[in-house]
This record gives sequence, structure tokens and C-alpha cells, in this order.
Amino acid sequence: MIDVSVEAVTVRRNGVTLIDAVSFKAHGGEFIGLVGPNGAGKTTLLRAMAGLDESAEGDIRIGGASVRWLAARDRARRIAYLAQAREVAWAITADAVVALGRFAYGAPSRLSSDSRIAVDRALAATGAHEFRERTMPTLSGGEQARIHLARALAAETPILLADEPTAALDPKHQRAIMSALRMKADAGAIVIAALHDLRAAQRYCTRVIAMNAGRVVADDTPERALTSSLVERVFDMPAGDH
Amino acid sequence: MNTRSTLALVAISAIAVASSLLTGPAPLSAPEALAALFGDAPASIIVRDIRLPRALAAWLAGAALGAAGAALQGLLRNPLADPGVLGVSSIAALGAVIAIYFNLAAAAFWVTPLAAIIAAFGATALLYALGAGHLSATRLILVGVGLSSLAGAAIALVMNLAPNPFILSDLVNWLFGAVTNRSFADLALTAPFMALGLALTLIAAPGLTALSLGEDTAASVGADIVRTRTLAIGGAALLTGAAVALAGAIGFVGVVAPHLARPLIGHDPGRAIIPAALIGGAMLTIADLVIRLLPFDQELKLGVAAALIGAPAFILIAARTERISS
Repeated sequence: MIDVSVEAVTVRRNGVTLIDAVSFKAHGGEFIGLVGPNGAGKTTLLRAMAGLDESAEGDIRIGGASVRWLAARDRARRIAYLAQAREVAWAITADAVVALGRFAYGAPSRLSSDSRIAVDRALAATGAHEFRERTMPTLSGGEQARIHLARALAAETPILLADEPTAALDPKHQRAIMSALRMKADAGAIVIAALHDLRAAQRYCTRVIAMNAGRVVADDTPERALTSSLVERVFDMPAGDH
Repeated sequence: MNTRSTLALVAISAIAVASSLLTGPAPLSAPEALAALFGDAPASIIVRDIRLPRALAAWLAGAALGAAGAALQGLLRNPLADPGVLGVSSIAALGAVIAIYFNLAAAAFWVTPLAAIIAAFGATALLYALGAGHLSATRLILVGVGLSSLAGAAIALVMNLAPNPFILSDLVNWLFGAVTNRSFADLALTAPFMALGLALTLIAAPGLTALSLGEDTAASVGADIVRTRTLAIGGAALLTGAAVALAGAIGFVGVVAPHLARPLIGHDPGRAIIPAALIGGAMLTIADLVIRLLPFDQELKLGVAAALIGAPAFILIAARTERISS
């Protein structure tokens, strides 16, 4: 079973501490909801965990191996990362975007049969089969979000980090995406998703890590972590409003 | 790109080069030109030593600029990027201008083209020194704009100081871009740099495909961003320096050729390099053919013709460009 340990990870930029000595351990099968107000450090933490922030201090270990020392390809075979900004620069097809999830397994122009199968599975898991041949600009926001998730799933990594995977989606698409993430965790992976929707975190996640001002302020099951006092304190709003 | 479009692009280039061999002030029929090309006829000097190098120079310069444009557009995720954007073209032209100003060109034919290539290398080294491997696309474009302006000002300064009208006229000729009076020696001097540059951009190609999804996502799927940037910028600099060395400063091919290539390969930036080279080569060969057919007393400069056609195309592409993100 896969495990991740985050040990005293600190990120400073231009003298400002964005996250401060964040530590936790995660195990296969966990779907962790990372919650906290804007600026709490959720994106910074996810980027550091994905090995995308060279300035991050501390250590992130996957099955004992430090992320920092993994070659780009080896890291990509262990960690999939769904960024908050879902840029697609060219009018490429949805299928081509999902196929890029398999980049670590060979050049995108010559997809192996294993990769082809993984792409099909990811498209099936997100219900995106019917529009796979269409180009990205012709897809709706919900369809694009499903394609980007399929891209992250297609890597079939033991760890998936997703930064606001349900942002700007209607309730139906939010549910579809949260279910797909939960299924991935149930299959034995570690899924960590930055979320703003506390109800969704409560319903789908197995664990919630709450952050505020760059520090972890709660780390427990959703019921025990998302207490009314935490919601009042961290989100600065009356309990019950979420 | 499927085999049919590849064959079609190769055929267009071949027809353009062949037509170029039939065009010029000396009226030669197709059989005459063919005999002159392969046999020993009175017209052999015209076809083999004047028209053939000219046609090949136009094709090679266009192909190099097309490939460089495709690589830079993929890297910067911007359909308007071209070798001019990084300032490499302008600095390469500045190198040539300085060589002409000091009359070094009189020493040997290879001094001016070599000066352009060395200046392109210098521009690349400067880009690295400024951290081009680590700069974001936007910053890289801004650095390029700065370098271009600087080179433009330096070129204007040299022209101001030109000691006599002959040197000024040489400078203007160079800056307008032309492939008249090119020899096989010119081709032999520049083609190896082009081949090396093309090889580097092709090694960068898979990384360019991954960069379609932005730098963070490309890195997360396993693309080495610094390596891709280094290869693409270095390759584009070699291609551009060699093209400027061969044909002077010619704009817009690097924007228009990849734009025409993209629909053929499903808009994949990694697969656009070869078709953009084939299209760029054909475009410049045809442009060079057209200027010889125009009924002007003074032959139009190739760079001027390229700009007259290319600039409106550039404006159209710019006006239609929409960024896709969610």
C-alpha cells in the first residue's frame, strides 16, 4: 500500500512564508479534502507535493523516496496533478489532452497499447467518451473539467493531487467529479483535493485537513474536523452557513 | 501529418523550386532549362550557378524560419511568436550590418553570413544569461521585445554613421532581405547550422506537445521544462541565425507557415515543425518567383514582398487569436 509523508514543508516567496512547517502522513485508500480560506496555502502545498516547487523546504516522501530526487518521468508515474489553471493553448482534441496524461510512458505521438487502454478507462470513469473526438474550445466548462480530470486519471498513479477539481461546476458535474475521485481512492490510491465546498468534503472525503495562514489547523475525519467552532474560526462565518 | 499531406507539401516545394529554375531575364524553355541543369549547355551557368542556388536559398531560408517559428510558438504557447519575437533575428541582422559597415565583407564572401550566425549565438547566450531557461513565456517575450528594440536602435545608429552611400545601400539591401546572387558556397556555409537547429527543435518536440497544457501540468506529466526550453530556444536561434545569414532579415514566414501547418496535424505543436518547414520553404520560393514576374523596373526585395503578404496575414491571425482556458 502506498504512503506519503509530508515532513515540515515550508515555502517562502519574497520573504513571505506561504506555508509553514506542514507535516502529515497519508495512506492508500484515503481521500483527503484540503480545506481553508483563499490564501491558506492549499495550492502552495499541492504544488510542493507534486514536486513543482524547487524552493520548497522540508521533505516529501513517497514510499520512502524523496520527491525532490525523483526524475521528472519517475515522479510523473507516481503523482498526477490537476492544476487549478486548466490551460489548453491549442485547438487540440479532448483525446489528445487525455493522452498527455501518459507522457511519462512514451512520446505522445506514439501511444502504446497499454496507454491507449488507460486513456479509454479514464474517459469511461469521467463519462467523457462521447466527446473525446471534439476539440477543447468546442466543449462546455463541465466537459472540459471532465477531460482534465480524465487526463490526471489516465496516468493511473497511486497518488492524485487535485486543486479545486469542482470549481465553477454545476452541482451535477460536481457530484460526478467527486464520485470519480472517491472511486480512485477506494481503489487504493491517495487522493488529495483542495476544496471550497465543505458539504462535498463532508460527504465524499475520508479525511479533512484544514489549513489557515499556511498552517494545518485541523486534521481528522470530516465529522470531527469540520466542527462549527473550526468553521467559525477558520472561515470567519457563522457555523451552519456552509 | 498523414502521408498524403506530406507528399502534397513536398510536391508543392518541388514544383516551386522547378518553376524558379525556369524564371529569369534569360528566356529559357523547360527542355532548355532541363538540359542546362543536367547537361553541359551554354545556359548551364544561368541555371546551375544563378537560378538553382537562388531557388534553394529561398527554400532553405523559408524552411528554417518556418521550423523556428513552429518551435517558438509551441514553446511560448502563442501563435504570434516567431524568431523576431526573441530578438534573435534583429541581433543576427545587427551582426551582418556591423560586418558590412566595417567593410569586412570585402575580405571574403563568408564574413557577413558568419557575422550573422555569430550574432545569433550571442543573442542566445544573452538570453540564457538573462535566465531564458527559467523565465515564463510572457517575460521571455518582453525580453525579446527589448532585445529587438536595442538591436533596431543599434542598426539605425550604424546606418546614421555610414561613411558613404555605397555602404548605406549595402546595408539597406541586407535589411530588406534578398536571395539574389547566392552561391553554393553560401548554402554550404549555412545549411549545417540549419540542420543542427532543426535536429534540436525535433528533440524538443514531445515537450512542446506537453506544454500545450501549461508549464505546471507539462512538468507534472513528466516533461523536462528546462531541457525543452533550452533545446527549442537553441534550435530556433541556430535556424534563425542561418536564415538571416543566407537571406537577410525576412519577417512573417515564421508566423504564417506554422499557422498554415497546424490544421494538417491536429494543432499539435510538437508535430508542426516539419510541415511548417515545408510550407515556409515553399512560401519563400514562390514569393521569390513572383517578384521576378512583376513588371517593375527595379526588382522588388524578397523581404519586402514577404512583409507585404505576411503582415496582413499576421494581423488577421492576431485578430482571430483566442486563448482557451477554463
